[in-house]
Amino acid sequence: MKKNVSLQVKGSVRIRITGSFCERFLNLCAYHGIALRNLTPAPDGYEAVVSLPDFWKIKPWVKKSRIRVKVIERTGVPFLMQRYRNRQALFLSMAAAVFLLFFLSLFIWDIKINGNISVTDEKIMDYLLSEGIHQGIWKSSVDYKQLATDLREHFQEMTWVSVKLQGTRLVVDLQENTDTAMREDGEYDPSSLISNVDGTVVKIITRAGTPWVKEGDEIRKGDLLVSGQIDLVNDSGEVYGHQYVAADADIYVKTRVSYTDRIPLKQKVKVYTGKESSRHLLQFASLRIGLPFFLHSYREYDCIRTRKQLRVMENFYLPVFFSKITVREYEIQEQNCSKEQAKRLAQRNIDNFLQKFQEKGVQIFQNDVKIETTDSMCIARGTICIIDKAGKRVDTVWKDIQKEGTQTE
Amino acid sequence: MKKDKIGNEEKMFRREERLNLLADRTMLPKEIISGCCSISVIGQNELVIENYKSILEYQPERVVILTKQCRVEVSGKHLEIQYYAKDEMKITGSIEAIFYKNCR
Repeated sequence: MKKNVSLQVKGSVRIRITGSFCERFLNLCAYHGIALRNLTPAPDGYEAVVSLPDFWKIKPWVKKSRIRVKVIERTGVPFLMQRYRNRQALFLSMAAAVFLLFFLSLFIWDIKINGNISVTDEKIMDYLLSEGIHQGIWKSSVDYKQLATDLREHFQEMTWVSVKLQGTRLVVDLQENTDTAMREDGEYDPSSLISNVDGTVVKIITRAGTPWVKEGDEIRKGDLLVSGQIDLVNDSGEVYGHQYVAADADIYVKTRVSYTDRIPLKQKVKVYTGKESSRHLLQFASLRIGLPFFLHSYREYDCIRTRKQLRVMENFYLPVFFSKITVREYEIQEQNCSKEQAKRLAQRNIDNFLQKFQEKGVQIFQNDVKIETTDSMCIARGTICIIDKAGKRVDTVWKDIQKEGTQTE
Repeated sequence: MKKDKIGNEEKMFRREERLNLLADRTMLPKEIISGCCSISVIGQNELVIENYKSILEYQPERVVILTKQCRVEVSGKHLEIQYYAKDEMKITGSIEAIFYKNCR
């Protein structure tokens, strides 16, 4: 492939070799480093493809081996240039296109963010914008190392950030630590677990730390569940010191979740009329050309817009966008729903709600949701009793250590 | 006269043995030490030969190549030399047989 491209650029000729000592000529060519390609036998000799620079070198070997060489085909850029030498506009536009491509390659035309979970793309883009990094800035004006450091400092959740340039695309690769208390080595600093829900403790398995609650205890939000402080007791039962660890436990708490769902019996529903029109847009920087010029205007409509950016290669983005805007007309209609239908819908909503809990691994203990219907509405209301894992890590222990430190001083 | 020829052959055989041993000891490729040709065949349609001297004969049914130690004859149908350079040659087509003809 690479050889073929270089052959096209340099230009190549297909020659017919005739005479009595053709093999000698072939061997002389090979000996002097002239590569012959697609060598095929022909009547009274051979045919072969030679690159144009090599073709100019073969004259002495032609004489030496007393053969005749005839050019039968010319291919490649030099011959094309020769053929179109009078069409200067063509060459000028080609040069302009190459220059334009080169000029556009000096800017950043796309920003891609990989690896973010809790920090949204918009947040990162807003930060980049505040730092003066946006589509259309010079590549050389960005200090990538500094930007990676700034990103890491600004977003505490990010543990690793890499900013690199691929073509005309700025790629921000990052890794987040969703558990902010966890250190980079995967361990926790001395810390305690407090409750993040109100409820009753059903089961507690403590692996590290001192449990402060037992099965059956009523707990409220913020109550200490497992302390990271372990009392060190001597033989006579006196506390002579403390050891601080990262509390670790599985605490299952029975909690109640309230559920309300209202379904009106008279509902306003979008009904699409089936009329739709679309418009294609070509956008270059702030210049926009659209076809057709105006969109059909409807009273009420949905607008769907898809946008694609032009790129030469995978990472060579250009500031040219193709957009398609589709407008679909709809009418608002009032639909009367029977009580039975509303009940079924309410039940389906409850089932979906419960299924979401089950997917998270939450155990449903009791379901007290009741569906009532009035003349205008169907209401599903009640509480659902669930058994879920509880516990939120807090650094309360450090305060204790500091307090103790000041006391001893 | 015949005795001389047998003596020469034995000499050459011993020389080759020595060169092979040297190639083994120095961990260098045998084709570089002894100057023999290297042929790689892919399926029945492609053959790449290195370390040769010249082409002696080329027809669609037969290609004869001279190497330092012997003649290599490739016979088949629709044989075509894809490229012929100083170090390497690639022959494509329907290869039926490869013969080594000793020319010592």
